[in-house]
Amino acid sequence: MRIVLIEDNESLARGIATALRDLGHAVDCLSDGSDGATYLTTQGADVAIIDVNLPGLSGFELVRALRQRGDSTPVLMLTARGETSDRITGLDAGADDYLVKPFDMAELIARLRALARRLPGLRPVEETLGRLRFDHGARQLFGPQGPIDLARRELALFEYLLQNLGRVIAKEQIGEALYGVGSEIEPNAVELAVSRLRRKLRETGVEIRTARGVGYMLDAGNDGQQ
Amino acid sequence: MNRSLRSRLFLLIVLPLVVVAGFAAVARYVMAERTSQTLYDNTLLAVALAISRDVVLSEGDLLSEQLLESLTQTLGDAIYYEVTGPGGRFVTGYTNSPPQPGTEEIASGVPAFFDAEYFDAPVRAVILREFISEPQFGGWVTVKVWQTVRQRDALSLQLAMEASTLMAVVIVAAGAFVWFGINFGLRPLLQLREAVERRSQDDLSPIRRTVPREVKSLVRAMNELFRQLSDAFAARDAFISNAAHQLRNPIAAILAQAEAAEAAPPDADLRGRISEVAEAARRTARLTQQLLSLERARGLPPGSREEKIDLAKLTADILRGRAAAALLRGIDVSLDVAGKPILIRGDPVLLGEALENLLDNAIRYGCRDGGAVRVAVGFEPEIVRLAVEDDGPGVPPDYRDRIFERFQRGVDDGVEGCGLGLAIVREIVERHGGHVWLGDTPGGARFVIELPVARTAE
Repeated sequence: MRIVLIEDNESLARGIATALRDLGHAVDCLSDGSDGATYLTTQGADVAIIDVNLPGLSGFELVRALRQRGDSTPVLMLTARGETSDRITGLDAGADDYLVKPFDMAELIARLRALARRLPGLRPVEETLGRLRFDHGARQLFGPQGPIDLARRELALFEYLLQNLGRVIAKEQIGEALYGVGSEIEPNAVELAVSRLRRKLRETGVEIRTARGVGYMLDAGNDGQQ
Repeated sequence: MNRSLRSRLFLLIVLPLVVVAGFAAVARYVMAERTSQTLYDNTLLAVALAISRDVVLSEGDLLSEQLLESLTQTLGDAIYYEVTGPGGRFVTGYTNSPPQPGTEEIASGVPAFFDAEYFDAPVRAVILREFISEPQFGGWVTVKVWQTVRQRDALSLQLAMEASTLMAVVIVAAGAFVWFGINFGLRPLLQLREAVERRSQDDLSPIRRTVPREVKSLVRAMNELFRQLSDAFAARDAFISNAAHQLRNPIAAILAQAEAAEAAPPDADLRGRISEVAEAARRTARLTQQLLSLERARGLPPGSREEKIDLAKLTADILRGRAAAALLRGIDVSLDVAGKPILIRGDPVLLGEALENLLDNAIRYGCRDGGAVRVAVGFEPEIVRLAVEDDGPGVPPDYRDRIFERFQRGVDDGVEGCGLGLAIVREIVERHGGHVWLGDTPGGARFVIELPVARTAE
């Protein structure tokens, strides 16, 4: 992936850039908000990592300008901890995700991967999770014993959980993703879909974990997680 | 009311004095005028009687110029008279006499006084009626005598002036005494002010000088404030030096491990050494973060960022962020919400921070892999209760009392941690008028936060 990193803390930027380059990504670093805006306009990038506090142009203004131009480049914002308003403003401005500093590099990489997964152009054609293989193009899941047939809702649920791999998603959010925002659904419709999908994923090393009252998470198991 | 105490007291004492003195002066003037009028009326009556006799004696002739002149000289004001015989017949005297007001019959031998005007000058007049049994003009004779009142007014004015002067002298003298008296009386206060002014932020010892009874409570309150301030300064100093020590250790560790990696021989386990550096740096990052959180919780003015919060939603959001790591370790995470959700007023960032710290404790220290973290939010009419429970080793009994203090760690088990998390939780919860305690649970630890519903949003 071509990643642009706009962050004015130089050593943090260097650390992130090194880690991402080691994973085979092309990383361009900028330390000024207005330079970042120019770069995004002229060069563009697959994914942008943008700090909130930037000299020149703040991260919020940068993202807002980007979205007003109709540019839908995925943006991951970096914010300082304890500033809830930062998160909200960031998402309002049009950022796709946020990460609170200080963060683990593994977390940053997982978030970037999740962002890439949402974009058809960036997402790998095929993904391997545990003993599972998922073909994004054909929307077909393969287990150790061959293709696993999923009903329409189960497939949508699997894709949505895969998009958010390693993150806990609220039941309501899953309901909206499967049935549309504001639609009337049975209170236990999501539970039923999850338990059916869970049955089909048995013995594959991939699990849907439940945090009761909190949400669900797709866990690819230790060996299979990319 | 920013007028000084001195001028307040002065005005409160002197203004009523001026008003009273004013009334006294007016009363004195009225009395003086009455007195002078009585005096002059008596004189006028004497003159009227004399004229009446004189006229009778001279058988209706004019009053002798000599007598009139001597009368005028003695009295100071010009005297005029008119004598009329029976039936209003003019006998002698001046014409154009001032008319008698009213028409009532004047009784015999009783003088009637009245005020009138004579050639545009104010005069005082008296009428006397007498029956004279004398052959020439025997019958009722009316004597009217009048006199200008210049002298009498002058006397009244003089009396009034004297009264006013006396009052003014009394007021000025009283004002001066009051002013000096107030200054003298307020001296202990001024001395107290100077004593406080001379103090610096380093001298917060209590004020010990003797003060009047009225300001004792003020001094007591000031001493209490001084005590709190010096306690707060001492606590802050202790906190800063403690924090510096706490930061020094992990930084020294980073330095040592980084140098070890730098000087590593080619065949050394460089990756292992560097991950130790990373671990030490993570601990430092966490510690600085905690220090910042604590200072933020303490430093913000109360209520500054309050809004209506759905505590159940806030808990779910924060738990969702934390749950992934726990689920990957096989820890069972759950959230139960009981009761009818009520919005409470609070600072969402701070309350979120408190929650993060409790969850962090439960997931990081409270649970072994495969354990369980249970979070419960209970809405009750009076309180909102939030409980975070784990099934780990629990808190040793001798740490239970100190666990909310800063830089106290439950167990030194080698797991990273700085001992600030629970101090932050307590600080935040107490800011919100609630309290937090370590509850009882068979095995594991259970922390309970209670926030009062008195603070609920309508």
